[in-house]
Amino acid sequence: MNLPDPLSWAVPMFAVLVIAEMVRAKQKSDVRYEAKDATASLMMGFGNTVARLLFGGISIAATLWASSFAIFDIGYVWWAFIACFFLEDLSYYWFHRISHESRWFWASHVVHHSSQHYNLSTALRQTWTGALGGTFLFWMPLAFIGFPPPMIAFFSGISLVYQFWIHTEAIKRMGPLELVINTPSHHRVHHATNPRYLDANYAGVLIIWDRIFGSFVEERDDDPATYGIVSNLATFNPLRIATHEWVAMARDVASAQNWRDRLKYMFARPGWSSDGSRSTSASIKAAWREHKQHDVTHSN
Amino acid sequence: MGALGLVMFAFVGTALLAGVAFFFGFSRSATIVSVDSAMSYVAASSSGIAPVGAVIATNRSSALVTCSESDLYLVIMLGDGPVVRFVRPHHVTRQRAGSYRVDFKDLGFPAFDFNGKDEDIGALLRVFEKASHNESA
Repeated sequence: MNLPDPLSWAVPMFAVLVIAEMVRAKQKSDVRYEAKDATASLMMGFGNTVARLLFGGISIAATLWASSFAIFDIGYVWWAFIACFFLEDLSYYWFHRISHESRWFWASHVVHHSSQHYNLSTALRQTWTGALGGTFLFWMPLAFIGFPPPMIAFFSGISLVYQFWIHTEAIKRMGPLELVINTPSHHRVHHATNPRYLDANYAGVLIIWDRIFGSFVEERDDDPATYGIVSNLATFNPLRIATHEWVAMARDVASAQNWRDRLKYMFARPGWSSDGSRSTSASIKAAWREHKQHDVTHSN
Repeated sequence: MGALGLVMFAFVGTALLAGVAFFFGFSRSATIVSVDSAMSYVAASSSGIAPVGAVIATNRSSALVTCSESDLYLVIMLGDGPVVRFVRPHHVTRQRAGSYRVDFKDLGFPAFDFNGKDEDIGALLRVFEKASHNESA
């Protein structure tokens, strides 16, 4: 069965919506653009397209390989489409969560978080090293279960297209939809560096996974999101944006004293260091909670 | 569409959108018009912050804002809008009387200068010195 590539079909719509949001930024202060930042994001998107052409074969080969060991022979039946939608979204949740919890995967994913802005161009700020870093591993179980690889690719594309429009500050809250689907509000939390919001809202399409696995955090009006990464990049150079975490990891591994530390520099949480001198999201949150507790104690 | 066509399509789209961003003037950072507006940006950033004073940088698109005895915030205009960042004492270096070098590389911003009479930025200095003392303690 020939399924369309949702991403190819959506690209013209992406361009129209980015321009529409820029027009809004000219008129209203609730949306912000900076030319250098937007250009860097767009160039990362362009590089991602090239990287997919160069390295996408690795992902396809891995999925086909897993498919050759499929437990079930699931064809293109109606219930398979429904099941694949939910399971692909669940796979995305765990891919995304682990991309924040393990430095190896974070080295690719950090690119997407490296803008201090949050607008539709940020959605296009994508990694160049995802396939090389093995992100396809998270979708291989679906092929192993027996879902046809084109169906997995189709829903993966749908998820990427869906996630484009939620990168905006122009849409505030969406009522009861906030309970079920990933919305701009939920995803603003995900992109924020405020301690309260760290490590939250990993959803692709459905926010239910965060609610089930305990990573859901609601956006608060009294704590507006500060976007970016804990140690922001002072550069708009696409090559540095794409590779800075890999370079930092290589330096850490080279200077480590033993294999245990080398492995931890590669796979432990981002910010882990052998002497404990750096901050991880957990230590930032703990310090914030302690500070808050201190404030409460002193105000009583 | 073939691979080369896709690359060309993506390249043209990238150039077009980047061109629109520059055409719309997003390459120019807005200026902070007054000390009051700098303080209002910080106050709006979190309900628990009460600014007491501010100094606008020489480039007029950044300001340092003091809140309480030891908290210092940076307001920087990214394009048309302000962002607020908590500042650590090591970010600010006194070069000579009335001249301060602020380097926020680890916050993702370039270094810039604050110039002005020391007495004009007395509140900032007191906060800065106290925070430096706390950090080194």
